[in-house]
Amino acid sequence: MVVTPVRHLGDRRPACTKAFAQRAFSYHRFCFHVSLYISLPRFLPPPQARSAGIPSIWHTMEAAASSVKDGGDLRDTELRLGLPGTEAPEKPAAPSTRGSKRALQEDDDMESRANSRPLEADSGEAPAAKAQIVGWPPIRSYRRNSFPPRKVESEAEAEAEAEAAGLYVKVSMDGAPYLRKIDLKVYKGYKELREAMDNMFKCFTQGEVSRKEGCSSGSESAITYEDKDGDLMLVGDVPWEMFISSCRRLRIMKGCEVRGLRT
Amino acid sequence: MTYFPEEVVEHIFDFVGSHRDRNTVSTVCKAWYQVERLSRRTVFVGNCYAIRPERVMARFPGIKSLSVKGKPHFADFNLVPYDWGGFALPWIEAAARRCPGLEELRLKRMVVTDDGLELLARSFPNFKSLVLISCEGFSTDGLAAIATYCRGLRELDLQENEVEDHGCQWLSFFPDSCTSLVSLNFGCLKGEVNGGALERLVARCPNLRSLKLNRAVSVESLNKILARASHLVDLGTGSFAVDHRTDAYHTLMNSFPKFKSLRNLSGFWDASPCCLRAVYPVCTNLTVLNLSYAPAIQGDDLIKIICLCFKLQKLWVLDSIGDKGLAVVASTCKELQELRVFPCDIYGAGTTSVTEEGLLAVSSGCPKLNSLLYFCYQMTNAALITVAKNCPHFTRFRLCILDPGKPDPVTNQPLDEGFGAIVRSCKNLRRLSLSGLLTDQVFLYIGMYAEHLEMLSIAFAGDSDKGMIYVLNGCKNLRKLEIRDCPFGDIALLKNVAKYETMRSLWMSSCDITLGGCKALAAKMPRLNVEIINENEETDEFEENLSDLHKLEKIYVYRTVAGPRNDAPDFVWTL
Repeated sequence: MVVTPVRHLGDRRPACTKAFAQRAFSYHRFCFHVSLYISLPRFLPPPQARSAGIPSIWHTMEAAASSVKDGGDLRDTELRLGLPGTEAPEKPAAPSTRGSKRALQEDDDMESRANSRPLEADSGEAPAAKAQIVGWPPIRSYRRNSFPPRKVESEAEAEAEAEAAGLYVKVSMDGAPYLRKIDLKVYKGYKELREAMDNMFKCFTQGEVSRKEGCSSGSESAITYEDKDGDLMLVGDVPWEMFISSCRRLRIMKGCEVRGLRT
Repeated sequence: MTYFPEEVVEHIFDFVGSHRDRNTVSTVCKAWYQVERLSRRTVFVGNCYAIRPERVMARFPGIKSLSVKGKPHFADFNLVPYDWGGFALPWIEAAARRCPGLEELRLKRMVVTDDGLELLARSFPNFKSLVLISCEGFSTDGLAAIATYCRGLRELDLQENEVEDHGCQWLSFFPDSCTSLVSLNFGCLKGEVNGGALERLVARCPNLRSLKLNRAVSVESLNKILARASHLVDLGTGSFAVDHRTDAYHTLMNSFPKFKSLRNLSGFWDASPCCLRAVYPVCTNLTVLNLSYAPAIQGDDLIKIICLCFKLQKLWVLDSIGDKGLAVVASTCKELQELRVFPCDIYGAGTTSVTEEGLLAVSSGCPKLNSLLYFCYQMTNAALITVAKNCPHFTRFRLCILDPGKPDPVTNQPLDEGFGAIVRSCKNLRRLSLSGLLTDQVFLYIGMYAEHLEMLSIAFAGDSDKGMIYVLNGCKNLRKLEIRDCPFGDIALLKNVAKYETMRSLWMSSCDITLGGCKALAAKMPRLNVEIINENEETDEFEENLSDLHKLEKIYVYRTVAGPRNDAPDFVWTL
């Protein structure tokens, strides 16, 4: 949900923020400016203020937004950060101090106003989805950086999010030309996992049998995994829940190597 | 007075302590100017670009203590670009050339480099105290240089700086002959420090009174240090997290009772409730307690510790303390002067941890309260009016309602009346930060009543230019005005241009100021630097084509006798 504020591309900040900037904003800079624009909350008059005297700056913004509503849905033409085919999350991109309102207004007026609409709808109902304002709340960066983005109490929330996202790990098979990915959350235990993996790599195992002339134990294979310490472990030793939490990738080992692992 | 010999005048001036008084005294006549400047030992420069460093050193050749501030305050909140300026090196170089007797240097919001630190360390044989607050640009190598060359160093105080970690060995550079340390604060360092070197350093400095460790210092290390430093007055505890089944935990539990002089506690980064119990024996003597970096300590445990701190004068906590916890503060801490309540959850999940009730309780229970920084999700006019009545002694009142532009939730009205009551009642108010839904009316009140106000911070407030004009026309003592996201335009900017020469600086961002307005201001007031901070890379090409109607994102206006600065980066234009 939260994105560490990034100043601007190519700045001389510590490596982590710069790397993050480069990762997150490897897209066209134009996109970057557009998403920056949505994060400015001046375009989101708070619901309570709509009836009370709203500062004039919000009047003009609200008028602008509503005029676009009448103009039709411009989502098709909007620029976002996100993979094709995925719905862009309503979370704002990292606000940055680079990016002027004036330039955005000239170039991508319509798109950015269209973007601001979904956030406007959300801001009244879900405070958690509120856009991040640069430099607000006024807390020193030192303090901000001292805290992890979530409180201890919202661990459950974090878990829930992780649940929804699935736990995809890569599966490689010795000799197979490409890898697969499976969602470990889908399976209830080791048996189901083994069956699924057999199914997935069926096409390769048949070819493999004929090539194992040098090994006496033909098509023997073992499923191994790399845990979070980086060690190669045999699947099946630990309880399923523990396995899921520590497995980082799976590897189906075949033939001679397997004997070494078993002994 | 002019018939007295200079020595007598100088002796009289020794009793004139404050900067302002000394500044005034120096304007009486040439003789007094001379005496004053030669006898001045402490100089404070509030804006490093207001005057050239060489001029300061030339005027005051005998200074022992120099304090300089760089970036505008809003740089703390990422509103000022990284390489805007505020370089310390020119100041260090000028002092090295003209004032080798310098003993203390205090820098805030400046860019300090390792080269600068090394020059500092080598140039001043009597150097005693270095205080860096919210600075950046240096690494632990610079600290190593300070440790190596500053013989007789008494104080190294690093507060909230961005320091690049080049290894843990810098502490080992303090020579074995260094026994003079009184205060060592490296709480902001992110990396490990050499535990053995730290323990030996603490052991050989018998005058050490203030020690603030960083998060990387473990409880095991802390135990060893505490064993050697029983005269500490001020302790920053490091991470303060250890499993309660270990020996280290038991040692910790028994470490604190012997600290008879301990008055300040801070740190506690990863402290758990059971570790916090270790400090209960010293709570009754505490005057300063900072638990604002300890998110694992929740309301009930905070209450348990606060119940013991009845001599507390300064308390910094997270809003997990809740209104209930603040009620306990109100009933226990009768000596409380400063309270800061920071939000746990910065990213606005909207959980109501503290509200106006907590503030009300503290205001009625703590009659000596004079400084407040309070982050909350809601505030009412009624509460503010009552707080104003209960605490007329506020000198610093900073209220941040996390939802910008939020009105009084009970009446749905703006908070004009509440803040109006504060400025009317608190005659000595020097610093004020506003938030919530506010119209021009609050600025009318501020202009009328806030006679001693020196610093005003405004965000998402006001309806029209009139708001800013009220402030500029009132507030006789205003020194710093910082505004963001308010509908103030050129008319307000240009209404009272002479005012800006009486102030240190004006910051306006995301308002309605245009290029034309700034040009007019710069033309009328040649002794102001009108800086435009323009971060949009695309407009670099269009510089010539910018019309006067072009709205400016950020401007920074400050009085100066140094003219436009020569170290401004490309994106800063001084008109």
